[in-house]
Amino acid sequence: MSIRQHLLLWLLVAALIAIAIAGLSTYQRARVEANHLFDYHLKQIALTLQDHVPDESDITGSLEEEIDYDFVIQVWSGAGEKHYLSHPHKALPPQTAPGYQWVRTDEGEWRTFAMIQNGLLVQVSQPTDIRAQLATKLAMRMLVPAIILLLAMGGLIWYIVGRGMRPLEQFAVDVRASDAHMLMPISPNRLPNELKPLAIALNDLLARLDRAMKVQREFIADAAHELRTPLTALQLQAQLAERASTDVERGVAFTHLKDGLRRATHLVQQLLMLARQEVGITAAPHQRLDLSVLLQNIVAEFAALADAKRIQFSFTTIAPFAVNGDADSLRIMLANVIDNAVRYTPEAGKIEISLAQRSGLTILDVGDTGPGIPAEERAHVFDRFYRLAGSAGAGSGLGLAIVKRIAVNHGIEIELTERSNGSGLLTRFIFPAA
Amino acid sequence: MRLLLVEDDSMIGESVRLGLRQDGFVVDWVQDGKAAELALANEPYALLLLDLGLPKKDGIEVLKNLRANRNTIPVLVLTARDAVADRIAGLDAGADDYLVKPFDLDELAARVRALLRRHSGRTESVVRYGDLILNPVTHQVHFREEAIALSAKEFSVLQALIDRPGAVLSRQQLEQHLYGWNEEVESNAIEVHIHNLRKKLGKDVIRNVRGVGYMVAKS
Repeated sequence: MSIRQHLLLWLLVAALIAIAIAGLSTYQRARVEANHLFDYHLKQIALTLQDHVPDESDITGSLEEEIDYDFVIQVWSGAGEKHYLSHPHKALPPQTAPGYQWVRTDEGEWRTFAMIQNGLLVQVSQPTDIRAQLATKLAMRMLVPAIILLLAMGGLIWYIVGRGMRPLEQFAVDVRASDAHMLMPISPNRLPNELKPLAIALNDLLARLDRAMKVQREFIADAAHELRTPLTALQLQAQLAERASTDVERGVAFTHLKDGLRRATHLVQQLLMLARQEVGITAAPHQRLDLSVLLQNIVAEFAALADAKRIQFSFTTIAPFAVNGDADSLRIMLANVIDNAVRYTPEAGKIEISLAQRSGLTILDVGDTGPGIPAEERAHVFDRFYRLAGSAGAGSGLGLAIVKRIAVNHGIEIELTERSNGSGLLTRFIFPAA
Repeated sequence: MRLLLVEDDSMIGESVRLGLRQDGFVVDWVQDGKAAELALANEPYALLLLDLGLPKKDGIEVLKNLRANRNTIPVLVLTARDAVADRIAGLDAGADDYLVKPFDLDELAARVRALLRRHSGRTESVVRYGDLILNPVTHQVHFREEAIALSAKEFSVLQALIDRPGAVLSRQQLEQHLYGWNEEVESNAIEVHIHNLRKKLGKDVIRNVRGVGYMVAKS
């Protein structure tokens, strides 16, 4: 049901109820008035008969004007025999006590007034439906124009509401005009006040959507571009394998081809992981976790790799450290950073992981004795596909972007500095109070 | 033919070098813009294979500097940037050809040959010199309509000389032409190649200018 129909229906129903109440009360008032009036009338007629009590000879004439209102005059002698009757009725009220009475006969209800005059009982009666008719007539005189007015008002409401809704239709046209490629803000200037907040809220939403889609478009463009490099390598490596004429050449070519495949697979996996974190598909409900248990598991995973490079792993903590988060995401984040540390720390280096609590915040430090990151590069290393000079081809360029995204999703701050002795790299995670 | 390859990705660089070497080219490979400029300043390359997204110095910048210094070396840009605007920017910066990644090794070699041919002012894909016909694609040589079997290095020496008929090339120039970095060159290698060529083609084709070098006469 449209707003227009809705408004029209309920406005008309309300008006109808109001008119009905007005009609009913008019009728009630009219009944009361008519009672007073006709009661007075009854008495007056009875009193006029004081001087001249009518008898059979007066059947016609003198009271003609009273016939309209169907007044019936009855006179009884003291002995109770009928003395006079103005005009007959199917069922006349019987003789009553002096004063006003309501009397019910087969013909309906009557109002009677009786008084004793000169030893005769004079009774004037009137059917009450005359009074009801009069009251109804009065009420109708008010109701009929009101209902005609109501119909006219209905038409007017239909028209006015339609006009009032026109900005809404224009609004819909404006909204329809912008599509996914061009999210155009809607000008709130020519909109009525009621629609302005909607337009402003919608514009806000459109702006946020536009930003999100821009990020997404850039991401896809970047991803497509970055995929070319490993694909180019694969194509060349495959061709070299094809060209190989000796088993030795072929063996070398296939080794290269497999390396290329591994790299392409890694890039695709990292891309997928980043995309999931960006869109928040893996935005699993956060739960309370023990950070030190999580870290112990990751350190155990990398122990063999570190051992092969004779890297000294140290992990100091006073367990447990509760943080809120998604276990899988946090594991990916920490594993990426520790993987980098193991990768870039030279043989016989050191990796130090420490957990501490400072002013209510949980602070995790991962320090290594690798080459570190120059201060001017630190702001950029979290960008997608950003690689330090000289590290081309070493990784996907996405690891730290994934780390950053997960950190942002968890409200974790990351700082990159050098270790306290000024060398290597120190990655500091500041977890929000759990 | 000695080429300089500038490519920051080690897998691609390695494969291109290997592939082009199989096609008979000598390829030196550097991984950033600064190293490329250094190499270009010090070695006589027949052609430059240039990636655009390079560390230290962008490929476009390297190209612009090269042309600003009036270096006419043929440049083939190898890049992942495939937008029309990028191609136009690359060509306008002075590139002779533009190949978008991923590309085919055979196509790359063909384009390199085409650029070299155009650069030497030839239109035919085979090189004719007197009774000699050299095919740079198949490395086949015909002398007086007879097929002659030449080694890759012998072919390269002959091609280098025929590319500039009338000019005398020193032993050192021929070495630079024939050998890339890290390639061991025996002190008499060029003499050996020349000797073998004369044995196969007759003494008259290559002339020895005593104390200066070797040449083929203008036909």
